[in-house]
Amino acid sequence: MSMMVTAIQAIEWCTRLLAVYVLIDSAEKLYNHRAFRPGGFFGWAALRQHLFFASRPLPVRRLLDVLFDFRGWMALLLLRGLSGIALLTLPHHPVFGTAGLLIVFVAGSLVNFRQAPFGAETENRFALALTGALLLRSLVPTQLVTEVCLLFIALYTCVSYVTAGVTKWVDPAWRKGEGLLEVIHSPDLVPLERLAAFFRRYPGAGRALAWATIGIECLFPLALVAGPPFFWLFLIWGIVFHLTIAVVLRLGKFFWVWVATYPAIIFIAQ
Amino acid sequence: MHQPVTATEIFVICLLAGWLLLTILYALFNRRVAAITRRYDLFRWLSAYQLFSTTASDYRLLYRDQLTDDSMTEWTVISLTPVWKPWHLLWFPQKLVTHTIHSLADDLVTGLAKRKGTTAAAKINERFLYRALQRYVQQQPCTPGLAGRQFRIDKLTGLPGSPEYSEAFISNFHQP
Repeated sequence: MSMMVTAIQAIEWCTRLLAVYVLIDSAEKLYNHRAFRPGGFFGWAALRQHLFFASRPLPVRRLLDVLFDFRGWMALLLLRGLSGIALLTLPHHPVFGTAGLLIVFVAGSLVNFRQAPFGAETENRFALALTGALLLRSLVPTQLVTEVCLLFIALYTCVSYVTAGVTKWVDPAWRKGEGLLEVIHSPDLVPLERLAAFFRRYPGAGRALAWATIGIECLFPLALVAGPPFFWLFLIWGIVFHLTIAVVLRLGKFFWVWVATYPAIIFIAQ
Repeated sequence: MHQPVTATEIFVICLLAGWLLLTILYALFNRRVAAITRRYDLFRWLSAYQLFSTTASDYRLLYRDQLTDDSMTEWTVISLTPVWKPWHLLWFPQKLVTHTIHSLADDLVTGLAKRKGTTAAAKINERFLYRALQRYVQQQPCTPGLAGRQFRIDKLTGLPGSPEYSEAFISNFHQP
């Protein structure tokens, strides 16, 4: 029995895993609907006064008033969530698949735009690159574009890991092995006293883990050239790494968007 | 037999190659081009994934009320760290607001430290992040006879295992 993953299967699983992120993120934002009401923390009435929006031409501001006001925003988030369901269940459907990716891409871009005064969410920025590539492939579904799309996703993921690894490496705290301990000892990031106590008792374990993180992040592109079965080691590390982050740091959405790229890495690496 | 590459395919390949190239350039020079990307990359399609390269400080947000009889209430701490639960792995909507508050507090404290003694520091209460924090604090439960409310940001300064906080910022009183 062949274990080879075809390009179509890789696209399908990238789309499905991305859809899980879209569903969770849209549902979490809809759950926080009170914060988006007029007078709420993310309410448009206050946000529209920010220079980032107030300096736009009048027709743009009028459009934003419709899109970003409570009702428009909830409708857009709902549409994004429904598109997530369509992508999860019918990733290859010629209409729902393409329309779903288009809506997720446009809505995701608007999420970043509306959130700009507070800072865009990293996981959404990553998801947009993945969605953009899948959307282009859905519009031009030839064999060549499909393979280039998977190559783009795989390389983009490698760039993200290498950037994360190198920036840790040049940071003095991480180089001394203290970076990870700083994260673990931050009650805001990791409110798990027992875990913090363990690393206070065994700081060497924290330092070793910090260097392992830097090393594997920097070397991750080897997954694309190491060939089978070695590339699986990088992917297993990635799944364990993101799962740990999801559990300990409560950044569960990072898991879905980064792991959503793994089918593309498998296709390129096999 | 290979089929000829179409113009549409070349266009899509160029788009993806351009996006990847710009991402790499942004990762290398993001600080230098920040002003340009803030202005032109409206949808934040470019990103540098410098995750946890520097750890943000820990803060807590507090408020107190001035009552109509001029007395003050005690400081009330607003928790920015929801208690850890296993399902946060999949479902953690509380993070949306608390994480943003934390980022705003960090931006306000670090921004003030950089601009200490300048006009910009004196006008901090006109800035969006100050007003966003104030709006959040004003939404906390009301004390009967409330005349004004003030908020404070404390920064974690203690050693790991023995947390201590020191005052990093204190606001004016604002009417409800």
